[in-house]
Amino acid sequence: MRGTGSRRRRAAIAGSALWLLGAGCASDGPDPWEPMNRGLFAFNEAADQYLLEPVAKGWDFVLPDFAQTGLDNFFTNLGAPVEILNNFLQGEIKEGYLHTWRFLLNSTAGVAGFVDVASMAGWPSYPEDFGLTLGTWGVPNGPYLVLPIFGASTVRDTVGIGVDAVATPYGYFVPIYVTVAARATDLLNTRAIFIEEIAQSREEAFDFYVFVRSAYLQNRAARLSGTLTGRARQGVVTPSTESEEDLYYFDDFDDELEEEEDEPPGD
Amino acid sequence: MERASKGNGDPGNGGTDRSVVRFAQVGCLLAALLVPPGAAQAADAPANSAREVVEEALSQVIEILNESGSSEDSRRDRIADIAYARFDFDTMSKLVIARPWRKFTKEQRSDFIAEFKTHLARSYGRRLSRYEGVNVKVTSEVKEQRGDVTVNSQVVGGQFDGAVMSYRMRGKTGQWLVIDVIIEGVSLVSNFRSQFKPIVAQGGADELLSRLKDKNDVLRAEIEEDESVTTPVSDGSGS
Repeated sequence: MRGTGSRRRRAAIAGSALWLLGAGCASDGPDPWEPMNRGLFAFNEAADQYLLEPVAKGWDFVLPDFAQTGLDNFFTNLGAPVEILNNFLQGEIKEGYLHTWRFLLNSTAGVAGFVDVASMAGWPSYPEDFGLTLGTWGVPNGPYLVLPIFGASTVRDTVGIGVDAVATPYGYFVPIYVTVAARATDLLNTRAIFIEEIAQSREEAFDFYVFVRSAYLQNRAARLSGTLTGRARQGVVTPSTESEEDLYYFDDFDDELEEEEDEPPGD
Repeated sequence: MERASKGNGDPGNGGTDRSVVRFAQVGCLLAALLVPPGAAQAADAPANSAREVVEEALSQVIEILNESGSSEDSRRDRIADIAYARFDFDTMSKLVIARPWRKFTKEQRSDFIAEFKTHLARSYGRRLSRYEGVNVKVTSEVKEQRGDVTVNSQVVGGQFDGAVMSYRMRGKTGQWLVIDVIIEGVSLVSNFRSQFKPIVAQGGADELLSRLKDKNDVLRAEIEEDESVTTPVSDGSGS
């Protein structure tokens, strides 16, 4: 029950995920485990709709927006050391250095992180995690994977979650229930912040599972390539789900369209 | 900046939620913004660069978004007009459907273009109050290999502070039109394509069209409901 025990367990989970990564490389397509993933996705959706969302609604009702933002800032700041570590592991020395100062500033002037003074001063932070670090080292995504509670991921990013958890310093100093409570609070608070957006996306999507998968994979690819931060990473191949060519060009095809007006009858 | 940029601050909880949500939320906002490229004014000025087109449209949309006093309904309509003038819905539709487009009849194609346009307007035009206090600054312009230009922008202020939005522009008949909007790295075209592909593969164009129409009806009902909640007496909305 103590920190170390659960930590070992987490390491074991990370280990088996690594094994899966090896296994995953052989399979084809971005989502070879779709049937299983859909099952887990349905479970998460149910858990969200019956448990998390209702509680988050109450939370949202009780807690004013500025308090939610403050808490959000606090948890983000709490995660900074691990992000800084990842900056350095990715070879981004300057980023790591700036991130460190950011953390120190927010932890002090920002009242333990509740106020994001650094951002107010126009000093942006870019999220990092070990999944991205593995990506910069050239480790492929492996298959898409839906985790219980954690949601959308890939085999690589799952390993990243495990490693980041082990690397989080606080876990070694506080009892496990504090860590769990903190994580749960963070999750709840985040969920409360996005109540409307999630409800709307669910309603609008033609297939919410596919919507989430597509958004997750594309967002991760963009973060990995550095396009979101304006500092393209050298030598990182964007593992985009589609090539740019596939996505945007149908030139040859366009020409045909003009003549093909009266096609074979549609079904 | 923080909220928008910290997608995975906490690797444990809510991280994944957040990136997706960000797309969704930003999606909305960007949709509104996304909606923006161009606009009537831009059309008058010949030979605008892609970046200028986006900048101009964005500033018009933002002005409307931050306007207080006029009804949400009227603001939405005006934003839609701006978007309609600068989005190339024909090309977007083609890209979203991709290969199966060949098998669509002429009628199915025009139906799809019309419904898809309606879908974008309805899904992105909802609850404009979310974008209060939002500004967007164009950050860079990137020439793509085959002539397209990607205009990058970032949201400043408001709920989606820091979110990165890009417009993929294609020059057509002397003007730049938007063919895709990419929010936090998530391409709208690609996202819709992945959702539509299995529907078309299984049920063909007709199935997709009927699903799209149904969805649009649902959205219209939702918008009316939102409206009745937010603006008790909406001036001449409805029909």
